[in-house]
Amino acid sequence: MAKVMKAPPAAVMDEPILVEPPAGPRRWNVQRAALPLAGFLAAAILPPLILDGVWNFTLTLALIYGLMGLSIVVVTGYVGQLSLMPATFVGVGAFASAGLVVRAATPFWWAAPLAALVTVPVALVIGMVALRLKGLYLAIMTLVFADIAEQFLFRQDWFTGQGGSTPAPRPHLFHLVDFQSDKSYYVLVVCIASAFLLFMWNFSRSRSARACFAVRDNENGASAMGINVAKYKLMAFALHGFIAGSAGALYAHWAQNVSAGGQRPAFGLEVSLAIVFLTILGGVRSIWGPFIGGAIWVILTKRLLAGSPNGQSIAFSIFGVLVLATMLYRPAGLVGVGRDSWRALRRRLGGASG
Amino acid sequence: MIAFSPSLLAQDAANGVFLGAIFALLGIGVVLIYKSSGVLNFAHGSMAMFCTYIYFQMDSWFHLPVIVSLLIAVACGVVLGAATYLGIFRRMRNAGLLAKVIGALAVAGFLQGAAAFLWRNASQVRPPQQFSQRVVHLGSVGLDWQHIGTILITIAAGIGVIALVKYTTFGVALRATAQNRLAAKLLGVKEDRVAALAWGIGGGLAALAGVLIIPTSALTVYSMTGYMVRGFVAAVVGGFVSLPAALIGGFGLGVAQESLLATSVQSLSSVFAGLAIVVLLLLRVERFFALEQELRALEELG
Repeated sequence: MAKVMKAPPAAVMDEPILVEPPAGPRRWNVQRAALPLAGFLAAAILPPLILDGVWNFTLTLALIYGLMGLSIVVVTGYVGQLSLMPATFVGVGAFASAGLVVRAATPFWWAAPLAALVTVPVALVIGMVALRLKGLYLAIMTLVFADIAEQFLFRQDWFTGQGGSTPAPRPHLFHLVDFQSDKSYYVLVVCIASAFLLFMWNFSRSRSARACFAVRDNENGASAMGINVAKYKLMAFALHGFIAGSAGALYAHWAQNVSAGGQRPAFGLEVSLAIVFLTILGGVRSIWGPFIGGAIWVILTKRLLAGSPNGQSIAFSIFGVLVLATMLYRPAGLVGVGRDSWRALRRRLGGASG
Repeated sequence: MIAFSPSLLAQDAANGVFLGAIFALLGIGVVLIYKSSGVLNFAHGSMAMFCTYIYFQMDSWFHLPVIVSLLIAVACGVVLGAATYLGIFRRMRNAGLLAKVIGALAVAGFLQGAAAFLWRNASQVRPPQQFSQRVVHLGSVGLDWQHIGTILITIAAGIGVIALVKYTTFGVALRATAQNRLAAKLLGVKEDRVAALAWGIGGGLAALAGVLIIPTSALTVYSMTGYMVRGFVAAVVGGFVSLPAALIGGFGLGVAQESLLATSVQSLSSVFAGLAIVVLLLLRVERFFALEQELRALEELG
C-alpha cells in the first residue's frame, strides 16, 4: 500500500508562532535597582524595629511558607506539573539540616545548603516519574510517595532522631553575630528569602523560563519547537526540591525542634495541601503570589485564630472556599486581582487627565 | 527468603478481603465520578468522613436504629456528591485538569475543616457497628459479622453499579459522555443530569464505605484519607474508567496488603499501595480493562 503523505493545511504552517522577544542584556543601573533595594531594606529593618518578638516570629514563618509556596510556583506555575508533596521535601530538608547540626556537629551555614541539596535527588526521582506520567497519574503518584514518606521515612529513628524528634538550635556566625533571638532570625530569613526571590525573578525572564512556559502551555508544541521537555521538567523538579528543602531547613531552626508529629503529621498531606492552597490563592504563576498567600495563611492560623483549638481547621475551611473562588473566578490569584485593579486605576486616571 | 505461617496468612487474607471491600467501594465511586465529569475526586475520603460523622451524630442524638442512621448517612452522601457537582464542577466542565484537581482538593480541605469545627468536641469517636461482633469460624479463619456483612454489601453494590452502567439509559448516557462528549451532547444526553447522578451515587458509596469501616477503628477527620488513596489505587487498575477492574483491584489490593502482615516483610504492608501503583502504572495495566478510546477521550477532557 502506497504511503500517502498528507500535507498539513497551509494555514497551520503559515501561522506565526508568537514568542516574546528575548529580553536583551540590561545594563545594571542604580535607578532600576533602587526600588527593589529599598523594598528589601524596609522588609529587613522595619519589622524588627517596630514590631515585638512574637510578631517577628510569626512573620518569619510567613516568609518560610512563602518559600515553600515558591517551590510550587516553579513546578506548577511554570512547568504545569502538579506536586502534592511539597511538605515531604520540607520535611526531608528540616530533618537533614537538624540532624547535620546536632549529630554531625556541622555549622548551620553548611548544614542548611547541604540539606537543600539532599532534597534534590529525592525530587529528581519524582521528576523522572513525571517524565513518564501525565497530569492525573502524576498527582496520584506524588500523593502516594508523600504517603510512603510519612509512613516509612519519617518514622525511622536514624532519620528523625531518637523518639522521632531532633532539636535544631538557631545559628550564629563565628560567635560574632548571634541569630538566637526571633528578631535576628527574622533578618536572616528575610535575606535568604530575598536571595531566592532575586534568583527567581532573574530566572523568570530567562530563556529557560520561556521554555518552561512553553512546556506548560503546550507540551507537544514545545517539543516540536525543539525544546527538550524532559530537561526542563527535571530542572523544575530539582528546583522544587531545592527550594522546599531550604524552606525546611529554615523551618527547623525557626521552630528549634523538628518532629514528625503523631496524630497530626507535621509534614503530611495536610501541610502539602496548605502550601498548594496558599500558592493558588496568592497567584501560582507569580513569584510574589506565595508570599502574599503565606502571609495570609500564617496570620490567619497563628494570630487571628490562634485562640481557638480548631483554628487550623477553620483556616482550612476558609482557604478551601477561597481557593474554589480563585479557581472559578480569578485563576491568577490575588496577584492577578491586584494587577487588574492597578491597571483599571491607571486607565481611569489616564482617561481623566487625557 | 520470605517466611510466612499458613494459618496466619489465611486469617490475614480474610481480613484483607474486608479491607479490600472498602477500597473497592471507594474505587467504584471514584471511577463513576471520573467517567461522568473528568474530575478525580480528591474529596472522596472527606465526603466519606463527613457522612460518617453524620451517622455518628444520628446515633448519639436520636438513638435511631443503626440501619436508619446508615440510610440517612448514605442519603447525605448522595446529596453532598450531587451538590458538589452542581455547585462547583459543573462550572469547571471545560477547565483544565489542574484546575479540576485543585478544585477537588479545595472541597476536601473545606469538608475536613468544617467537620473538625462542627465536631470539635468529638475528635476521636467510635460510631456503632451495624452487625454483631459474633465471630464465624471457617476452618482456621474467623470473621465477625461486620466483616462478612461489609463484603456482601460491597459485592452487591458493585454488581448493582456495574449493571446500572451496563443496562440502563443512565448508564448508556454515562458511557457515551465518557467516550465522546460532543457526540453525546448532540444526541441529546443531558450531561449535567448524568454527571449529577453519577456524583450522587459516588458520594453515597463513599458514605457507605465510611460508615462500614470506621466502627472497626476510630473516627477522626483524617481517618478516611488513607482509604481514599487506596481506593485511587483500585481505580488505577482500570485506568479510572473500568468499574469491574476497580472492584477486582480493591479486593486484590486489600488481600495482598494484609497478607504481607503474615510474612517476614510485614513492614512493607503500609507502603504496599505505593509500590503497587508504581508497578501498575509502569505496566500500564489499565489497557487490559478499558477501551483505548475511552482512556484517550478522558485524557483529552482533562
